[in-house]
Amino acid sequence: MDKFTINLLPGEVLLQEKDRAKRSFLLKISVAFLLVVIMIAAATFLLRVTQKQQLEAANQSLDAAKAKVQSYNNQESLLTYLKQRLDNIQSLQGQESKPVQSYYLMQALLPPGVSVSAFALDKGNRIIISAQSNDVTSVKQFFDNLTDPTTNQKKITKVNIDSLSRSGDGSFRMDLTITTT
Amino acid sequence: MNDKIIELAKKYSLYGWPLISILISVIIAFSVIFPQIFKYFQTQKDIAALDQRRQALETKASSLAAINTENYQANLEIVKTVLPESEDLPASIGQIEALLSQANLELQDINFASGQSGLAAGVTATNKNVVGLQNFQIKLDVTGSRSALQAFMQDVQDAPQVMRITGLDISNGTSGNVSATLTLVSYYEGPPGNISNVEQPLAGLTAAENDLLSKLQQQVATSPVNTGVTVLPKRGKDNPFQ
Repeated sequence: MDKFTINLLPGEVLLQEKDRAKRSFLLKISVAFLLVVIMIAAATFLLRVTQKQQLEAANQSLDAAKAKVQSYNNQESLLTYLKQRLDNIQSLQGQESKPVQSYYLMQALLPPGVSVSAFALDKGNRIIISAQSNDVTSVKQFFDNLTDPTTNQKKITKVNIDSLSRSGDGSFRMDLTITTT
Repeated sequence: MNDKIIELAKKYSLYGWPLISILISVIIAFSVIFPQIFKYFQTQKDIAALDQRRQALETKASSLAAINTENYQANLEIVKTVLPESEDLPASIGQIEALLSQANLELQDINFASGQSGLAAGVTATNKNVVGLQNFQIKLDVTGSRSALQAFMQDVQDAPQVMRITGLDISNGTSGNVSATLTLVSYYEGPPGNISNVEQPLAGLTAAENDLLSKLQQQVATSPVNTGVTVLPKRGKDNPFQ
């Protein structure tokens, strides 16, 4: 059998009750939300504090590692010093002496009948040579060697004949200035 | 008017607490949570970088610990023989005398002049990148046979202490001999100033450098020139002209 319920409270009271329940619910939700936000803020703060400790520990480890490396300062100096010197020696050993190269070039280009009486290099590293020969064929051969790029391996760029003379006994004397590469 | 305001306040008083709560939450989020989270990631990166630096330093320390100081010191002495620390005139004269005697040339005159920094003029170099290198000039007047002069020029090139001929003037002398004026440069390199920064990566000796070192050891050991590996105590000035 169905029960009949009759609410005899006035409609205004019912509305007030409903409104109070709604307010109470919103208040609870608001407070709960605020508490959650505060807890998140506290958690991030704690996380940062822990992280700062980690950072400090990392800095300390770095300082310790630096101190360890510095304790081997002697070894490091030795290695750096040795390495720098070896690098420089390597560079120096790659050097070739221009005068010596020029001397060997002249030696290679001189025919047997021509002899050098003076050999020098000026400030521009040009070869200044005084030579003599009793044989015109050797003189010609010498000039050919000086001017032929295949014979002089393209190392000579210019030959100046400063003087060329023939003495009474038939010997040739010449003074040359030779520009090399 | 006042009635209207009271009525509006009553109507929206329901949302008061939620609004206050949201406002405070927003303030907390922007002033605390977001900056902290941002800083957290930044600091994590810093910690990782510090850790990387520490690892590099530890690797460097273990490499340095493995260095045999005595061995390196001995190698350095050999290298100093080839490239002295200062204008060691006695050593240079000693080498020149030995080379002249070996080549059978007669020394007529010897002069010294201060040089310059870096590589000397009158040489061709494959690599001009030299650090801290200095040189001084030695001018020699010699007499002897042409073959002896050639042998001397070759010996200078191969001599333990690095010297190069930068000037050559040859003229025919008496009885088939030649007189020659040779300008030599002798190189030296002062000790380095400040050694590297502690965090600079350690570069060990390369294979080419080790090969060069072995070559120098052999060269110094077999050289007829008394190069002074057994270093005598220093007396007086290295360079009397300074």
